[in-house]
Amino acid sequence: MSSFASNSCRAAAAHGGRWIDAWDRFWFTAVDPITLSMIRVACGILLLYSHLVLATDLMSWVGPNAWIDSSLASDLHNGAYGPAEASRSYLWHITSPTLLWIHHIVVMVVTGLFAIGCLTRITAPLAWFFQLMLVHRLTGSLFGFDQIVTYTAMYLALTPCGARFSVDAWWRNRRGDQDGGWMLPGTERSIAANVATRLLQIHLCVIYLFGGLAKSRGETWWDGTAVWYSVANLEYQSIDMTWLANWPTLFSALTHATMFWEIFYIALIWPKLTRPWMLAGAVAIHGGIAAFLGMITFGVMMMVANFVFVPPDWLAERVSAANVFRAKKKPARSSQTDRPVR
Amino acid sequence: MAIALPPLAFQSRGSDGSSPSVTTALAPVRHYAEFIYADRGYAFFAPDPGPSHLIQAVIEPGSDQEQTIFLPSHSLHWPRLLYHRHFMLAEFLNANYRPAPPQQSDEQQSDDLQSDVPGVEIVPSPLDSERQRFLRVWQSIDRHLADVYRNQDGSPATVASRRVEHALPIYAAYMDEPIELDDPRLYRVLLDGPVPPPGIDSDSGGTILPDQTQPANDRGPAMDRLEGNHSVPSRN
Repeated sequence: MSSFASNSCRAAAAHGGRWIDAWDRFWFTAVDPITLSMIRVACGILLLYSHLVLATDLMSWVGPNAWIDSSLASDLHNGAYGPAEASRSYLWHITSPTLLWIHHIVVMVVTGLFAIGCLTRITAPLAWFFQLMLVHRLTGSLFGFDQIVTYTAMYLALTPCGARFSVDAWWRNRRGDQDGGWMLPGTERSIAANVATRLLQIHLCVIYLFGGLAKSRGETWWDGTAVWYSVANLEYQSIDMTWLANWPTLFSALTHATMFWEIFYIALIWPKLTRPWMLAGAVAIHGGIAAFLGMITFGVMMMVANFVFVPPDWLAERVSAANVFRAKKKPARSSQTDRPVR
Repeated sequence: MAIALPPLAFQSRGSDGSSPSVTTALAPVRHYAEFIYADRGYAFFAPDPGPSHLIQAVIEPGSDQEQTIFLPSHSLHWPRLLYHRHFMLAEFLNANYRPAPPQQSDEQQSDDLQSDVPGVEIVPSPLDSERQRFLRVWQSIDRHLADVYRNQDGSPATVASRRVEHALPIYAAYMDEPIELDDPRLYRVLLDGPVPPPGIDSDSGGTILPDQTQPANDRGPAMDRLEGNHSVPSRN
């Protein structure tokens, strides 16, 4: 009896140990920040684009007499019309157009520096914070793009996302110092990069799971007409796709594929066998949204976020191979031009 | 928790309110999720792709000819991201719509909320509060338009606006008779009215009117025109 109990305890301990090891590996394996560095470039550019578009009519969005005026923006969150929320923004209290312009220029400069990877240890968290203050001010005019770009910036904020493809990397190399300290992060593997990668991956799974479950409560996602009704919406449409009406088998297959892809993303994105297919699905669905449903920024940003599932080592190998290839070609070209063969 | 519970809370809302267990679980992280803007439902094109909602506004700047604009508008709002922000604004106004309580104008409601007894504050019902919220959003949009389209003397223009629904063509009907997506029959003016009797859709006061051919400058003052005419002029 005691032998059975001790065997059971040993088995449970071994099982528990395996779970703890797996948990540790999942969260705390140091990874190359190359994937996050690439995501930083794309996220920074899209964030900057969003701020530039806002700047074309800044006072209509953040001014005291904006579409949603400052006082209303505050009341929509502070409990005047329902439970008070913690979504606060100092922009509710700035009414001077000059100050709002100065603020927005600072926001654009910081976001531009984040995109090119300059002082990312400072500009990444600042770019996220400014974006957060803007989304809490822009209540009423936000959509999926604002959500995914804000989340991605948030997860990047505390990582060495300026380690590659950045001014920081150029600066570090110029100093001949591979370890540029905290301010100029090197390309060494990082636990912080892995934690941020996992958080963004899990967040994407949550987004798709609930996106799919919400669709499963509708009728048109089951009878196969949802894609038809999406492309028949003139306000979303960027390319006329109403010809799909003549291809019911095609649009109903796209409808079912979209709903099931979203629901099962949370399970099928992790195994190596199914991951490429799920990522191909992401490109197809979000590429379609970008091209045909008028939400270019949203479609592109969702594809960028999905890039977080590309393994850093796989990416680093390809970048190294490309660098070696370029390095081999360079001397050959220069020898032909500078010292022609006689 | 802060990432997964907000969309679960969104999905678990029913006619009797939110699921108590989900609300309890969300409580410790609710404010954190709100601050990081993670308090979203992610219900894109769900549960079904539905009609669009637009804002039609008539602006009368002093001596100039009045003009009718739509939110969103491809001709006014470019690039696409700017267009989409205006589109979301029109959807936001519609999502906030609550009809006025029955047999009461908004002025009466406002008067009723003033208590004569010192120290006694009358707490508005959720319906009153939601109605006030809708009116504030609507007024803010109108005020912005009046501010942008000013009179020659610099004073704000006169503006009247209303919600318009742009329905999607029913698939079977479209196959029988393909129509343009901007066909006038697909537009419906959403009138503002009191709470309807039980069993009647609150938006059923909308009117489908096919005539969109009347030129804008043949009509009366902005307010009269929007109140008395339910047709939807050409959008571009």
